[in-house]
Amino acid sequence: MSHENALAGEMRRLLASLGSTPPPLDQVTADQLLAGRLNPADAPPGYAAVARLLAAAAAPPGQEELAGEHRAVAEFAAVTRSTSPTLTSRRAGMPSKRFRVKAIAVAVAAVMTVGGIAAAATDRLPGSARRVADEVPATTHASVPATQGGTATRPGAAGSTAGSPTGGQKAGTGPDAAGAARDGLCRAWLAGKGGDNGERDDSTAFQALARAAGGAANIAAWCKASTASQADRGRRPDEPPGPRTSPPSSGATPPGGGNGQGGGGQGGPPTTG
Amino acid sequence: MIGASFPTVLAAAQDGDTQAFAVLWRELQPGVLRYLRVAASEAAEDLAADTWVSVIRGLGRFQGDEQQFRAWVFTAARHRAVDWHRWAARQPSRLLPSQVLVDRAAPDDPAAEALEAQSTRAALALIAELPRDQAEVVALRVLGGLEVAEVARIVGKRPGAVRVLAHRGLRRLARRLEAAGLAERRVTQ
Repeated sequence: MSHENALAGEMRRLLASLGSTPPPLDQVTADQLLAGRLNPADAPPGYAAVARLLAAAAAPPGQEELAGEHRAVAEFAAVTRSTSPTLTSRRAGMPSKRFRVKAIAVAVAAVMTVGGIAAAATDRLPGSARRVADEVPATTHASVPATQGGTATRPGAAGSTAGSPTGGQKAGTGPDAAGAARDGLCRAWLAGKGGDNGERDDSTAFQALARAAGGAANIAAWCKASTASQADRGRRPDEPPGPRTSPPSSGATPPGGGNGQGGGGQGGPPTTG
Repeated sequence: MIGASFPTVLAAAQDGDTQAFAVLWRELQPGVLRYLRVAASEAAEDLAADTWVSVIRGLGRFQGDEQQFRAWVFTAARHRAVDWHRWAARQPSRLLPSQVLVDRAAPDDPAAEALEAQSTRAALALIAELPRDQAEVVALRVLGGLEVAEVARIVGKRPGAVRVLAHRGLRRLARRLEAAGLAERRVTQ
């Protein structure tokens, strides 16, 4: 089959060589021919068929040649939407959306970096670096909730220590007779009063009671007033204590709060050894 | 030719107007597709679409008149054709060019068809039979509507060389058509 085809092609070439060779074209005629401006009737000998051929090649388009218009326009619309700042020079003065996103990203990255420095510096860095780190939260508006939680537990702990009669470590100061220890001291003073236990007036606790009452002579009256006010409070014995006087409970601390500062040793599981 | 309204159409297309772009596309697509049928035969449709992708992406940066726009679009089309020939040359399973030519020439001679039916496809097939550099120059001048200097820039040759290639191509087409006309007459006798 291909042999016959090759033969046919060879025959055409042979026939072409036998045919009269068309004369060379002058430049003007060639340009007119190539531009489709040469009427076949006006063509030089041998070129009328070429003029018809080139006219057929440049004929008005058929429908099938314009079938891809929707696809091309869709491609155009898609590219225009995605790259409008580069496609048009008119919008070049406006900050592009891409730039705004970039600027925000840079700002976020900067805050995150400073925040990381602050977290690292609070624990490890001494001196000036720590001062810088302490200033960072104010600059970046970052809150440090751990500090507030720590101070909130302090008053309760101090109060319980002062309230205990045996807790007074410093001689001459004694318990807080005007505060938490007042009722107990008054009861003890009233029970032992009558001269039997006169030497107890010298005790630190009763001296504190005398100071709170404004003098040893005033203790009886001061303690009676105290007992009366205690009766008022006694009407609600089951009411839970207020938040300021409650001792710190272990449950108040967030589960993960202490582990981060204490390192792995305290928060870890019990050792088997 | 779009003519006097071309600057307005181009500016609108550069501003994202799809209708203005459609005007440009309809004006140039037939010539681009036909040039690629000559330069890259069966890949013409895909290469024309690729050509328009690159035109769309570069449209915002283009500056010039309608003729320069034509030359710019056909430059993109030729790049696609050259890339395709490089790619096709590396494909081991592809038919050799001589086999393609023989198969195409055999049953329906495009020269005879072009003479009889004035068929655009047959005319393009006949131009495509020319040696590649001649076919390229003839196609760019006839189908692209480009001048000698513009074609010379696109194909990277001197204007004199482009003229010589065009002359040789036209003479070869004349011989080819005359031979086909002779063959027709012999068959009908």
